[in-house]
Amino acid sequence: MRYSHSLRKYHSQPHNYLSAIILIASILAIGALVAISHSNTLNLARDLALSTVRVFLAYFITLPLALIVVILITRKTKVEDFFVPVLDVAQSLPAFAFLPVMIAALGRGTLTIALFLTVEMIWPIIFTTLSALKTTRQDLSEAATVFQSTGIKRLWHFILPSIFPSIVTGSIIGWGEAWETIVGAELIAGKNGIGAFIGKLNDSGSTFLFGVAVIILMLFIFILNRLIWLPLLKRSTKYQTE
Amino acid sequence: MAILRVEKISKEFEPEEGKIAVLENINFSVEKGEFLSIIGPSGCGKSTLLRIIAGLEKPSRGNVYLDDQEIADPNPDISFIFQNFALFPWLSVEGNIAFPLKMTNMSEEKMQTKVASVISEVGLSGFEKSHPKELSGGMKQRVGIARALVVESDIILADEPFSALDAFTAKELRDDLLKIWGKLGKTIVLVTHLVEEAVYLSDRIVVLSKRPGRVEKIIVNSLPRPRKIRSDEFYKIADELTKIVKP
Repeated sequence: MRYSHSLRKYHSQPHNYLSAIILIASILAIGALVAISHSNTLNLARDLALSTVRVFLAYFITLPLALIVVILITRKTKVEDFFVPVLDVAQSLPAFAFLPVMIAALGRGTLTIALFLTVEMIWPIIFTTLSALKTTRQDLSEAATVFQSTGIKRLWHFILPSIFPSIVTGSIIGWGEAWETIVGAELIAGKNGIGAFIGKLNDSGSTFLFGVAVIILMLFIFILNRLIWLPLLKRSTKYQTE
Repeated sequence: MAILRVEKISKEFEPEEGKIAVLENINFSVEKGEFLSIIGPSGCGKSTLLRIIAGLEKPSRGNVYLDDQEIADPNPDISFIFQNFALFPWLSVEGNIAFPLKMTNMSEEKMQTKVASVISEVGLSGFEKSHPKELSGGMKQRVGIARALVVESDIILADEPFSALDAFTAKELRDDLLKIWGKLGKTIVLVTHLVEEAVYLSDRIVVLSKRPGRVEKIIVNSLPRPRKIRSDEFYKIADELTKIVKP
């Protein structure tokens, strides 16, 4: 109930005003960019598309990996008792420390950036789903057991639906962190992508264009959130236990 | 003929320090088609006993036999009605009822036929697409009963199935359960803490002592059905039970 109440915030007047302001600002920014330089607009579109592909690729690597880790370690209490503190320490390690190593090993391409993003993206998904599995209502789990739910069928018909709200919540956090990280990662890798694009503008002293590009990036992330995560968040309320 | 036998069941829980004995040397059997209730004071282990029969809990000692076969894990011939319904919130009424069938390799067509038949049996027609959040407590427990019926198991275990309902709904559902039991000839083992409920529903009543639960007495209830809860005979058995069930 509290959850659906919080969702109503997204349909409230302030949220709609904010959406309108971001939309108008972004349209103005795109207009400004097009007016100033045609080639910059094309580069921005290409680099933004490339970064988006990297974030999606990272997500499709991260999600199954996180779910496999969580499901495997929660199968036995002793394994879970051992691994949860290990994961807790691992998530606190600074991810950017691994980037030079990954660049050295795999080059500066899309795969390197995507794999690097998984290091950031995976933790919120792991910890939210871990928590959801631990707090699954005991009687629901017992109902699944009594009615002979085992193996893949249990995974598909019981475990995944019961942790679906947490998968969405963890994904939203991980997704946000991935966009934060990708700008830094592409700045360091320096070849292409929105981070590299913004970096080049900053280096060339084009402050106005730099600002315009940042606004467009914000708009893009905002639209993706509205199109993908908000509907999933709404859908996930149906999966929540009373 | 006994379909279910509970032999020398004892159960101890072992928290961080020491042991807590919950059940001690429980013995009884259930006849095919019988309605048997287990009653006892709060904390006497009656729900634990039911969970052991369902294979959800391992006994410390003793065994449960279904048709002379020892059972230790959940068995497809035993289904369960839960106290707080235990319905899956992401599934509709028909989805919840079909859940046990989806765990088998049954064809979609056969599944739909069975689900539709059970829905009509328990009076849920018109609510097929509703989700648990949209249902009253009574309707939720009807879904719980339908889910237990759809698997066509020989035995239905029910753990205080009416305790989360208001008095009127509970009475209505008790009568519905009796009708289904009479019509389908299932064997039902029900846990309750209500003396009147046990007398109204059961052929026999297993009375457990306070913790650690032992079988204090097994009362045979041969009152004719439908039972009149305000009759002298009903009160006589209820009084006898009340004296034995010590809080």
